[in-house]
Amino acid sequence: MEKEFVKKTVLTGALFLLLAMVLVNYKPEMTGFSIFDGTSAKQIGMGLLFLAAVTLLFIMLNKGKTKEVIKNILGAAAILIGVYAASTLIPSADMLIAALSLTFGIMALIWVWRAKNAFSMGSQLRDFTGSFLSCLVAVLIFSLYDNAIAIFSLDSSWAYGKYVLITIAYINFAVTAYKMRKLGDVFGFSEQSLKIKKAMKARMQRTR
Amino acid sequence: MDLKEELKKKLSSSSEYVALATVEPKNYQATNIEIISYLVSDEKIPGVYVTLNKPFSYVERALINRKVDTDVIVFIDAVTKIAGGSVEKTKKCLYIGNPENLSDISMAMDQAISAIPGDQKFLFFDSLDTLLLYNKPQTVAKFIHFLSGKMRIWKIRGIIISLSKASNRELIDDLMQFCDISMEL
Repeated sequence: MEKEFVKKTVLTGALFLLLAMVLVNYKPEMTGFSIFDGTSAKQIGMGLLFLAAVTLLFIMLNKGKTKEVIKNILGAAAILIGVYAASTLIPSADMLIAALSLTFGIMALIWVWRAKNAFSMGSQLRDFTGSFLSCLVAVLIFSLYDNAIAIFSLDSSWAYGKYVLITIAYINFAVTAYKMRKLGDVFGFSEQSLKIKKAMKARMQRTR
Repeated sequence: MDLKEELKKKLSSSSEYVALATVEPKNYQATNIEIISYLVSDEKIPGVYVTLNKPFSYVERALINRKVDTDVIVFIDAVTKIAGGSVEKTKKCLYIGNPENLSDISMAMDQAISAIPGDQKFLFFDSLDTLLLYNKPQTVAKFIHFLSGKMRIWKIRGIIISLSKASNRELIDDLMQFCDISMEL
């Protein structure tokens, strides 16, 4: 399995590299006939190099599982097409970035919500996840409010609301960070680990 | 056959296993202590004791009386109620305080096992019956399936205790498929 994975990665990489090198160095007079001119060949070559890098990354991440690599490439292509479509539909770069960041925010919110519901009622993990969820909600509200100010060209007095929201978000983050510290204190066993190490060492010395 | 002999016969052949031990209610405490004594004193390995049944203070006393070195055991107590119902840790034990709280029990076990030095370690889970009092049988089956999978990943000696009762029979039969060794003690 390991050998197959290495072979696949090296072969794919070498193939793409070869194609890209040929296209980057392509000149129409080399073959006598011109399907595409030198510039577009260079662009295709660069594109192939980029594709090679992305494919190799996905191959590495999925340890050579072909199905997963194809899924990842299709997913990445879908995202790129989506971003391209959004950029043509939304004229302003600010609004585009706002829309994209909101999408990621909502996605994160859904994942954390699902994680929270999966943990046992009353557990420390559920509590921590709930706290993290409130941070995300605060940041999302702030982001929505900030974008609304820009979109509707609201006057400067509306900025005070923004300050309140970002303060709430930071307070939430501080509370969550504290809870995380407590989680580390409670569920970290480094002290016990040292104690056991010492006890085992003492035992070994006794038996010698 | 002597209990220790029986444990030796069943458990000494491998250093990684998931064992389901069904124990007679009248011998329950003595059997648990004997298993821990076998692992700590005879096999000389450190480990984690998860108690959902008897409070840590009681278990520790019983182990000390049996001359078991409790310094090499990390205790996780999900039975002693803590003021405020939260998780609390002392030098010797992590109190989860609620056998329903499977997420925290899982995380505590994961962290405790990872913290124990060396390759040879055990996890003793006491018991399935208490878990059944607080959780649905399907949840318990899922949890034990998860736990046995984790025990294999951790490459440890895992022992799950259950009382030998007619009402548990069906669940025990279902859980047998996740375990390598079954013992009736």
